[in-house]
Amino acid sequence: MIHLAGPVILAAVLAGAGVYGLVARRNAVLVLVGAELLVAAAGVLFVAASALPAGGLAALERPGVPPGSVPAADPLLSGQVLTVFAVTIAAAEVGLALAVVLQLFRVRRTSDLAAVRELGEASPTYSEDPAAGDPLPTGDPR
Amino acid sequence: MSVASTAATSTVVLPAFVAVVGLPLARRSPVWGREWAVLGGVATFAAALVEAWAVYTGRAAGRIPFLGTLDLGSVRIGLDLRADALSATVAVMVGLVALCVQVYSTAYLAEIPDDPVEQAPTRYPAYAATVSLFTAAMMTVVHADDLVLLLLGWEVMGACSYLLVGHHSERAAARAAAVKAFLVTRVGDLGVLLAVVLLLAATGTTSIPGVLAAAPSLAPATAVAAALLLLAGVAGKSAQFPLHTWLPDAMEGPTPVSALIHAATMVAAGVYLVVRLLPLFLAAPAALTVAAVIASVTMLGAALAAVAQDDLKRLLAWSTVSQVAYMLGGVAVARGADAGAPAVLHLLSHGAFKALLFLVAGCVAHLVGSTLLRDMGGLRITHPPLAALLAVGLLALAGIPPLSGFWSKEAVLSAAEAATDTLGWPAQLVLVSGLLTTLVTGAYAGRALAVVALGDPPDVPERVVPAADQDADPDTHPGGDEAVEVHGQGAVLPPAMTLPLWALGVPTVLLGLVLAHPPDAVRDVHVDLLTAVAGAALAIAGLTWGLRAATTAPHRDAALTLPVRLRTFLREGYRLDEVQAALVVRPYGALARLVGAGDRDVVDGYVRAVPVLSRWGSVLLARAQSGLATGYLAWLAVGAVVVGVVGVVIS
Repeated sequence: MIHLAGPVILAAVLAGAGVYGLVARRNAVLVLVGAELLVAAAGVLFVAASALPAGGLAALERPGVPPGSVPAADPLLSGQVLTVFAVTIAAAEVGLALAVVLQLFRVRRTSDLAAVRELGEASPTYSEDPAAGDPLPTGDPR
Repeated sequence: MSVASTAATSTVVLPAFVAVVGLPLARRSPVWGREWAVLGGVATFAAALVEAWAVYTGRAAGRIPFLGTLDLGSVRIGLDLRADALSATVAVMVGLVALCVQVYSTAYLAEIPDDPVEQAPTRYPAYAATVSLFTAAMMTVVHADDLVLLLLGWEVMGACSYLLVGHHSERAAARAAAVKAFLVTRVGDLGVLLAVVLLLAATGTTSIPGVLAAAPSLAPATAVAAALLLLAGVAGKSAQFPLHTWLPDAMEGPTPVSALIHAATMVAAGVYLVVRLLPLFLAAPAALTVAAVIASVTMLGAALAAVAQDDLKRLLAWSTVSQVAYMLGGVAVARGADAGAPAVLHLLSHGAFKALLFLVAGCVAHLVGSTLLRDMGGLRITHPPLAALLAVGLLALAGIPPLSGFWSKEAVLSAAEAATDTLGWPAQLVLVSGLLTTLVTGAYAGRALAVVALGDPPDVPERVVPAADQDADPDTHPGGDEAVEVHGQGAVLPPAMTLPLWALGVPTVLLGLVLAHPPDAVRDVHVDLLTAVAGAALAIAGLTWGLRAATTAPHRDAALTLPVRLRTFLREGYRLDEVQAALVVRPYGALARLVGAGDRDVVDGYVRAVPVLSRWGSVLLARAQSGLATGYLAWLAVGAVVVGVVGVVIS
């Protein structure tokens, strides 16, 4: 039995790093890494929470109850199952996202998100038809 | 059911049935439509005659079940009819005039092929059905034994009047006149409605015998309020000052309609209501005093206005206003529950001679193609029988013995004279005003006779086309010189237009004979010798003034000897329309514009603000769409934090 603070701090660090990656980095791959870190933080919290007994933290801190004698809340370990499920989905999502990033790089020769703002109405490079003002090879770039 | 109750019910049901069936029938077959409408008129008249016969052989009936009982919980309203001497007598007059009008209308509203004047369709089916429905409504008012049923007939009559006045709806003037007639009478009708509610609250019943039995024990204030409210309705329907302004304009309707509605029945309904509810008015002497003042003002004022009219139908309309004021004056001086007899007698004789005069005016308009007096003349040479009938009608109107108008008018004046001892100044006012009006009535009757019947026929070889007529002579006839109703011109009168004249001519001449054996409805009619002589002398004096102009005045028109400004002032009805416009129409129009502006700028403003605000909101939100994917993710993170904080705070 480890202390609950460990997984929660780990989750907080992971989430903080993820948000930093999402907000501050421009490289599409690093932004994707930030998103994965957020997913991982959520998974850690799921696993930690599923180890708590019925009644949550209050049941552990009840006086007179010896540690380890409180049964787990969920014999089906739904937190762990959900985390495995989320990891599976995240793997699929990473595959899709990396494919998009790869296609972006093939078309624009860059993976900098700040360089591909044409679709935003409020962006300085906005245009109704992004392909028109930026002629690029449409065939196979290889 | 007794004979009287069956006949009384029939007088109401038959014309209503004829109206409902006649409309589709006449659309399918015009010939059968005419036969059907006339047949309905005959049946109604016959039912009224049977009812009168039954009533006068002592079989009067009250509380005839008609529309069942209206159970309102706290009060039960029996929508019953009654058949008594008063209702039977008036019903006969209504039936006769309605029949004559139906017969006359078959010719008057016949489709004239290839006619440049009557280009619009005559819409006879709707017209005949409305006339029948109107007759049914008037019969309902006449026979009602309950105030609610009376109000029902009263309102249907107003609606039919609107339809008939506006029958030539292709003319803007006819539409305006119809709206005016409807709105002005509606002002009065509101009074009747309120009076019925007040009487129901005060007496707990709307049955007329019940209300009348409770009338003497009513609180004086309640009785006066109810009577004054009823009087407002009477002034509206009977075209009394100050609600009389609709009647001269209502001459835009077809002439038979003027004969039926605006001479013989609808305007008489107001007076009939007062006679029917006389005990209630007797319990409120103040209301009768008001009625006497209204009648005195109206009879003299309207007669003076009639003198200056340059249109035959408008002249007759103003004389109707004046003559109905006689009836109202007759009941205003009554001092007994049965003292409405002089008014009823004048109602009957006026119904006969005024319907006759309007139908003659329609014939003259048919011959001349105009209703303007200046287009007429020489009827004595061109159509002697028509001229004779016109003379009979006008002499009866003026009250020349021994025609019907003389007896009824002198009966009213004698009643006023007899009441001067007990009533004081209101009766004297009615008497003096009545005698003066006799003089003026003689004057305009003589003037109309001189202009229409005497002299040479005007040389109007071509028919007068309405468009050209409006610009004719703007200098000599400034303003208001358009004929109120333009009608087809024909050299011959069909029999359907002349027979009703003779049928109405008989009572016009002979109605005075009923005084030899007075029936119940006009019992207690006394003609005072002195008053009669004075009245007849004044009438003859006025008539002489009017007729003398045939040789002395230009155009044989005595009114042309009056000063121009006075004549214009009188012709325009004392410019009361302008007063009405300033006092009522314009403030109301301003209010309507205010309400319209409120609707447009305030209520609609909310609706119109929705797209404007949406646009602003979208412009604001579009700024967030920077195209920078990490920017969106930053917003997402902020949103997640907000959701988290909210969740923690709420839990």
